[in-house]
Amino acid sequence: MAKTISFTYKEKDYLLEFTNKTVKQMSLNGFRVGDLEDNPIVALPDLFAGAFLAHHRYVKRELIDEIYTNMTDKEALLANLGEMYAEPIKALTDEPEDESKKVMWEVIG
Amino acid sequence: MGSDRIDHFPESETKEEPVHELLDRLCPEYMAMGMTYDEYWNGDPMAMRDYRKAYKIKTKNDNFLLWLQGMYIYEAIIDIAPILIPFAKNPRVQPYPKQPYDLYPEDKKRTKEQEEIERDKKNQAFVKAWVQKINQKKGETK
Repeated sequence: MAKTISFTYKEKDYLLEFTNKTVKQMSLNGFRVGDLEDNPIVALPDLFAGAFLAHHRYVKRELIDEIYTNMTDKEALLANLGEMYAEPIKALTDEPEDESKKVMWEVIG
Repeated sequence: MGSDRIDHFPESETKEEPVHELLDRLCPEYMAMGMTYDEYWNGDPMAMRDYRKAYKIKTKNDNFLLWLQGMYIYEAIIDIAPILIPFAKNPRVQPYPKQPYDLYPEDKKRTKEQEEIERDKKNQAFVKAWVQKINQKKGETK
């Protein structure tokens, strides 16, 4: 199961998630992962807004920005959103786990 | 800020191909693996991994079946080979096997062992009951 974020704002429940479709839409709108490092002030609210596309497509940007302003623990929130955004791309391209290449480790002492 | 976060992102986007093009390009490939269009675009992205793994298993199974079929054909040719030799005296053709290969002989062995154990248990129970009956009769006569 892909990661999701849920919260309630003004008595309405929200579920934030990224799908291939929303990741594509964000990419078409010009969102780039690199922007999170280069221009975080613009990119982070965009990432947050993009997470609404899967289940709350018709929520207005003003409301999303308002919610974003009121969100607590933004650093953890954005770290999770970043991981969630990366999940579809990772799932799309990463190789299945190769047992023979796994490095096993153990704690001694 | 969040530079450690950036490390988690796959390389795909840092290369030439933008994400939306990559998603478009791979859609038919995932559909060939059995994913529906709706599942691909709107479903849980994690399902893509399972579809890929399932496809790998399916390909492996298909490959085994093709190999098995080749084996049957190979043996059939060997079995009829004597009649293909010109001027051979009394060529003997082996009949086609009545049953397919036993793919799980271990299971058969296990069930035989289980049958033997069950038979032993039944025998033991029968002997026990018989001894009890005799003892009861002895008690009554006393």
